[in-house]
Amino acid sequence: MIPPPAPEHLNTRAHPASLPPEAAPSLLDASEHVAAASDSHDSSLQSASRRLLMERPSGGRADAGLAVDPTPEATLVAEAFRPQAEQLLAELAAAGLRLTANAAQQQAALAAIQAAVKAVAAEAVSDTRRQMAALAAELRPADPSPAGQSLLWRGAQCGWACRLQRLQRRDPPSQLTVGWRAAHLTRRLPGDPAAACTALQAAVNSRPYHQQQLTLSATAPFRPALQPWRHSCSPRFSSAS
Amino acid sequence: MEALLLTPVFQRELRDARVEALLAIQTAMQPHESALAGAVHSALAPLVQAPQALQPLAAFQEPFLAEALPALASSIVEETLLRMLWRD
Repeated sequence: MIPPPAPEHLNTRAHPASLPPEAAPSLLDASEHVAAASDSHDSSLQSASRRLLMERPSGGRADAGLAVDPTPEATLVAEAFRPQAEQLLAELAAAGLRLTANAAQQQAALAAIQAAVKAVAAEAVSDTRRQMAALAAELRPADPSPAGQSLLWRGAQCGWACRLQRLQRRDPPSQLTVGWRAAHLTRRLPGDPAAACTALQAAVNSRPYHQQQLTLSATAPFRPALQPWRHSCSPRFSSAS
Repeated sequence: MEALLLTPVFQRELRDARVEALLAIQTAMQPHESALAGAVHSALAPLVQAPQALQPLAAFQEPFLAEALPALASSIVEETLLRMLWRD
């Protein structure tokens, strides 16, 4: 069972840069879980990429990128990108581009690409957290009860960090399935889905900025309850269903 | 877990979850596409023996992103959802 978030975390409207680390505890918990899982993961790919990242030469643009909040999620993304980076190099070579034959330089370039991806992913994670915090704050007045807040907060957690969090809860398979499918949250959490939907609808109509995020939210936890009005809300909303 | 993976209901839920995860990841990365292409292009430059051989960034960006972003999202989902499911 996902522990309910503390209400004070929904109060923040602060700019993400000024958010304290505890501003989004679920996500930070997720980061810790991901970090723990990554550490215990003995995949040679991951350890190899970690080595590369640690051993890469200093200097260059990628190094500057690393200064951007290197979250565990971003590390995971960078590691996941390694096959694509290798493929990219192979394609460039196949296309007739004369690449250096120096293996060390090629490995350093791969590491630099991963570092670049990591920096971009860190910004994306940061953006996602910011949107979720803003969305939670935006929706809060619509249903101030703890149950409603909890439900809405879960609904807002449709960034990939949220998904990682659910993955990392390590429920038994049957519960993992249920937990991973956010649609089941409406059954597992107390609260009134109708009130949540009303709040979501109001937010969609009043804040175009949030539409994208709400689209993600609405495709999962609130799908059944949103059915009656979803198609009349916005084109983006409808197309995401 | 193996038995569960063979269940049609579970397979359907897994497909849905994968699609939603892909959408979430691609959406999160969207504002940073240009930065990603620029950084990767920059990292590739030292590898090329003939300095002018690599396409300019403007020409490199579109085909790179078209291929790399879906693959990247797919990799992330595989690294998280699928691998973790199998391990559990």
